[in-house]
Amino acid sequence: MKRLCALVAMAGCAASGVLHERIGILQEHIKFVREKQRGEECAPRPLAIAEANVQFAVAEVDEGYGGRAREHLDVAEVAAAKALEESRHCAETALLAPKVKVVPIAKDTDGDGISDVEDDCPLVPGIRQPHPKNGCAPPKDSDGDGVPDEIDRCPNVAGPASNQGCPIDRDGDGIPDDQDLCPDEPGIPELKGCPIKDTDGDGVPDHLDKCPTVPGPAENNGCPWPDRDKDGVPDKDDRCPDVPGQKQFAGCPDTDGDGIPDIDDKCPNEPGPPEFHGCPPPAPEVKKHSLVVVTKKRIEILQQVHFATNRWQILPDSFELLDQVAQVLTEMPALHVEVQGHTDNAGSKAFNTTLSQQRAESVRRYLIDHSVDGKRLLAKGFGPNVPLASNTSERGRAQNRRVEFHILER
Amino acid sequence: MRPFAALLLLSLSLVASACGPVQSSAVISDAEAAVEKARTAEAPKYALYNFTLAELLLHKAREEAGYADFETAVKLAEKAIENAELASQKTARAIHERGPGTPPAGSPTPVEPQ
Repeated sequence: MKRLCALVAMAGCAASGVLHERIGILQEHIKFVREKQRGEECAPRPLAIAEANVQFAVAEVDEGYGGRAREHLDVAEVAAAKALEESRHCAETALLAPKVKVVPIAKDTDGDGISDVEDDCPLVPGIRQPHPKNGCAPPKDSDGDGVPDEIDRCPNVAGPASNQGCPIDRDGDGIPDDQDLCPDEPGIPELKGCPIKDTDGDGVPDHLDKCPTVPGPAENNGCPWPDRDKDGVPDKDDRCPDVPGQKQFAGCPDTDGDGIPDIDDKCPNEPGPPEFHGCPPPAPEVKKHSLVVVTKKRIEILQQVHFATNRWQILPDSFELLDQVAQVLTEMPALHVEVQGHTDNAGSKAFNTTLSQQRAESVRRYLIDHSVDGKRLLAKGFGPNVPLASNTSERGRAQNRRVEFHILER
Repeated sequence: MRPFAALLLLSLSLVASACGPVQSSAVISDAEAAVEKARTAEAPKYALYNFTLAELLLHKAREEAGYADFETAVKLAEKAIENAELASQKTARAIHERGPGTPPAGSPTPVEPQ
């Protein structure tokens, strides 16, 4: 309530100030007509009306009747203007009259087309405007909005007089309403004063979003990445973009469910471990060969390898046996084998050791010649050191002269 | 004694309150007479300025009396009388100097007051 009273009082003061200003201007005006234009003689009635109404207005203002004061001032202003007009004509006529001594009043010192008598600024060229600025230079108006700079709150930005010369900006976004496409919503200049919107809520504002109604990453201008197989894995990340798959397999399927996606699975329809590239591991079967048996530790041969007496050349009757050994090694590529050569104890030990080494190497070479990788084969001669049977009988010595294939790695 | 005193006070206050209107209407009547006298003397032709002022002041005096502002009404009426009398004097002097029917130089054609 107090605030309201204060506001009313302030408004009253402001209104009173305006009235006093009008009264002051009119009094000057009347004084000018009376003293300079022989107003009482040349325009008696309008001058009297103007004077009387100014007096009445003063009284009404003093009594606090602003409305009545304004009515009197309105009448006074019209009458004063009329008095000026009538007295000017009369004064000029009087100037021409020979009997009357009057100072020349048609002089126009500043040459602005307004005689010095009327000109409130007789030394400065100006324009015709109401007293007391008639003939004065027009007020500066930098922004050309019709509101002089001296009362323009925004002298460099055009704005209506109703807003004290400032542009109207209802939403306060710094963009004047006449340039604001959304004058009641704060916005940004890029959107001509409209607010930033993100219809699909993907974090990419609509004005930058090529797909404003469909969420999508900023990297793709707000549009979703394409996903031809519609498996939820975008094509750019999908190793199988045309086949629906699973996320953990980069969009590829795993038909046999062995954890290896079909694209990497050599047996996509049969489960298998990674070491077998998704194929089932081979059965630990041992192919049956007539002369060879693969056991856990050895490749057992059912015949002896025959060599020339006291020499290391393999006799042809052992070729089939060794061919089968080579075949086993080819079929089981993981096997690494030590080829051992053994002798009986006939003869010197050194000779037998050397001979057994040469025979082992001879077998190794044969196997290499039959497509077995030499890196898988190790030849070693043991001489008579590892007998299987007693060397006292011919039968026992025959058993001790032998070649064995020990599996080192499988 | 008490009722008498009360009655006296009441009478005095009534007289006092009625004094304003009575005085103002008397002065306004005087002003009307002064204005009418000036008009008859052809003041609108020879002293239009003062005559117009007198008329306007009289009009305003009546208005203020209508608002019951009798003090202001009296002042205005008195000013109206001053101007009416001044107009009459100026008119008489002009007629004496220039002769009747000769309006002052440069004076526009008088019009009827509004």
